[in-house]
Amino acid sequence: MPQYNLTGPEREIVVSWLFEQVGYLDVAINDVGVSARQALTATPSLDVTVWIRTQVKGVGVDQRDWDATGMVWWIWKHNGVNVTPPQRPPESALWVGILQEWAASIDRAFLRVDSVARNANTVPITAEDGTVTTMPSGTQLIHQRGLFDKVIGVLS
Amino acid sequence: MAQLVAPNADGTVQWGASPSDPGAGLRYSMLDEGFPSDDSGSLCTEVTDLEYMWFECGNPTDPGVDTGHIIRIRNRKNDAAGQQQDHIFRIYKGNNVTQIATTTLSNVDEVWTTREYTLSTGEAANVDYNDIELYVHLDEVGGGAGRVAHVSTLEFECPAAGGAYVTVTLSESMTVSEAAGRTPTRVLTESETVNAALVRIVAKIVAESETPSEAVIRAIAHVILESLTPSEVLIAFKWLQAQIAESVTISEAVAKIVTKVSTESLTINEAMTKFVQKVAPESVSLNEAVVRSYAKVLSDSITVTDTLSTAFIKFVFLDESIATSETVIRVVTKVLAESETVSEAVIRSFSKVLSESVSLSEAVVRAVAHIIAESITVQEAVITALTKTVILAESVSLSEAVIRVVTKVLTESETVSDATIRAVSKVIAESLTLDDKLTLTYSKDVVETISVQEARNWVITKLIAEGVTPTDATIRSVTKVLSESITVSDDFTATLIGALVAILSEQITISEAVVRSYQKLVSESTTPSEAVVRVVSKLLSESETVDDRLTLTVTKAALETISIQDTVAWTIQKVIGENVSPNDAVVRAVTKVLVESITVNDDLIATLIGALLAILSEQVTVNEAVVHNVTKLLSEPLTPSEVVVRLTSKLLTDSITVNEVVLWEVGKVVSETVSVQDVVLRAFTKVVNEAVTVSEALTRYYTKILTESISVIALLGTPLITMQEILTIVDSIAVRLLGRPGRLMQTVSTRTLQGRGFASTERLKDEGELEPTPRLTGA
Repeated sequence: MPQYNLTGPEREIVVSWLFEQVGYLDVAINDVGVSARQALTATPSLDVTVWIRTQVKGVGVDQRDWDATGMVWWIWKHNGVNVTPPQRPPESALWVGILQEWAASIDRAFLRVDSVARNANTVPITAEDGTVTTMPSGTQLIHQRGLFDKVIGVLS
Repeated sequence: MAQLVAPNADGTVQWGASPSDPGAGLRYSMLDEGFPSDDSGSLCTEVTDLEYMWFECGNPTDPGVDTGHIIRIRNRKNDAAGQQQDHIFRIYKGNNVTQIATTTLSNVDEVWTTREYTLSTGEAANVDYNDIELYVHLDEVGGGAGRVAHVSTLEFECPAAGGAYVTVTLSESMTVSEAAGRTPTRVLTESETVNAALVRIVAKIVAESETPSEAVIRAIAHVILESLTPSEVLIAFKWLQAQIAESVTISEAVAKIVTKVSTESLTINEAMTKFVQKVAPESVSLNEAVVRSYAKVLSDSITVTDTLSTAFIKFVFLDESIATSETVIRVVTKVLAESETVSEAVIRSFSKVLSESVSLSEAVVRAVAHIIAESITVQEAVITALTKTVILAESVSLSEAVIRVVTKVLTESETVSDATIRAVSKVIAESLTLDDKLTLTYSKDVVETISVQEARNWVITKLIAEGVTPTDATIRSVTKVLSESITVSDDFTATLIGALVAILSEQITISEAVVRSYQKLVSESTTPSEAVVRVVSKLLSESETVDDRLTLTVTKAALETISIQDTVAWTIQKVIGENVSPNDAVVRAVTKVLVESITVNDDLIATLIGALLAILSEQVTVNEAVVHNVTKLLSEPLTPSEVVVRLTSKLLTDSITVNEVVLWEVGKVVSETVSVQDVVLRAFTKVVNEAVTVSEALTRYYTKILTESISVIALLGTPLITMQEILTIVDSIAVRLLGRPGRLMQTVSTRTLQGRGFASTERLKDEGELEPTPRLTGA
């Protein structure tokens, strides 16, 4: 069964990336100045991944952020969902590339400063309703690394 | 002053700029304002992973050292949360080819922060001061909404350039003037640890309001703990001194130190700091400075604190192998490193020295050596020896007692003498094995009514009759000394003087003489020396009798290196054979004393102690002791006090015990039944003619007087008999010396003496006399 099941922290990270202050929903702005958060507020049932596909990226918006917004939304919504190869999203190759870059960046980071030192600090985590809590120190990058491998395994 | 250089030309710059981009080649201008930076102004920015920028910087002058090299950046990311960012910050040379140092600024947050990295000495050694290149690149970590990297300022720092670099071979003989010509930073580059320490010290002083004293203390502690040479620490002090200058000369500084340590509540650390500060900047060799300081200390009255200071000076500046150096080092280390008080440290030091398993002899020798070679007073040494003797004889911990002494001295401003007395009293009070009843009884008697002589007799009696240990008896004597507010030395001297007075004058018993002597000391506030002068003056100013002759004899023995026999013969020949009056002879003797700048009392004391020593120890004859004593006094640069101490030490270190001495004395008294006259006669007769020592003869004489409790004058009875007895004594000596028994003597003072012969009773008699007068007994 080609599906992934996110752990609690992995899912929290994905949600936080979307809903945190100046998160993906805020930096993904279309060519008429509407952010994904504004579109979602207007249409609570909005599929942000589809919204990204159908909108034109605004000027000044980072392409990686624009692409990642659709990907992260999809990752969140497909937790525990069977994704057979025909059902893979059309951006699968792009997204795998992004995820692989991120995984590599974490690996490099751990070489520069080991995980013990990096994990000294706690990380704020934002829930869907905007509530901010704290992820225990020492776990955030490790959980990201696991998340990337799981998703890459389904997308490729 | 450190050198600071900022970017002054673009290298490769992939980053952008904000709020406006000046364009390629000019982006360095966004980052060259230095620190503190204006974060609201020009920035370099970047949002793309792994994009980098590097800039050429200004050219500082080679500082000549590899410490204090810092690269500095002020940076942040533009918003919280989101994607993590690491900023990689480096220094290069050779157009971004040769990396010199790198640091990762991990997980940079959204707050403007100045971050810096200090190059190791190895890294700094590779810096090209004509090609400083600063490099930054953005490395995003993991996922999350992207953030913008911001950098507002870059900077490179290195120490100020000094003079020409001088390779210095540090040695302990390095003079201050040599050191003064070099910046400490340069000299200390051979020791990174020291350099780092000094940097910390200065940082402390400047940044944390630490006092110079504290900083110096820190430095000293560092020196001691890391085995640096005195020269190295001197350089360190020199460096500190540059910031803490005073305008007094070394001499003044030393004087101040000694004065402050001695008279004010200035700590040694503080004083030493000032001293070092003064020594360092002047062109005086270190040895000269130390000699000055040491001479100053030695010429003044020395306290324990002063001694510690001296030892400290020795250790820090000369690194001498003094006997107690290890202990002193520990003390100083403790004081400096552990915030112990000096008092605590001194106690620790003394405990260490005294608690070593040395024999009593070794300890005394050490003490005496200390007196002569170093700087404690004779009084202190005597007391130390006495303390050791008393304490070692008991089952009391030496260190415990000494600690008490030192503690008292340091904490209550007592003199060493007072403190020692107190300590001894304490030991006595707490550790006696003596029967409590006897102790109480005796103490009461001693303190209140009986004379010293009586007390001594009483002790002897106790020793024999009641099984009192010699130690207990000694303690009682000490108790007596303590209760009368005189020092042990004074007591010793006074006792001797009293004995001499009795011997010489024949006017009073020894007991009476001792009492008189004590009365002088106690009731008239007279010093022992003054008391002796008075006694001697009295002897000399009155009509001469036998005592005059004996005085002269002793005086001669003290002043010249001739034997007593020779001196006696000389005196008698002078008086009898050359028609010189006794007064004239005495005047001559006294004149000689005065001309040679030896006080009468010093001479007399030394002689007496020598005699007493011989008597008590039986190791040498009186003659030998006196000759030895006088030889020491005249041929060596010793003061009479020092001679006294040496002799006293000999008494303490000899294997004869007090008990043996006392038993010996008492045994003589008990075993013989001869009269005083006979004792006197025998004594001199034996000295001259027989194979007995002077000490034996004199002891017999002494013991007779002591045990019969009669005065000589009473024994002699009438003037005629007195004269007869005196002449008997004198003539008997003359006859023995001249070897002409029974022959006619010469005319002396208009009187013709008859030849003498022995009666059947073995006494001398005038020729023609049928039988000698009956022997006198006590009045």
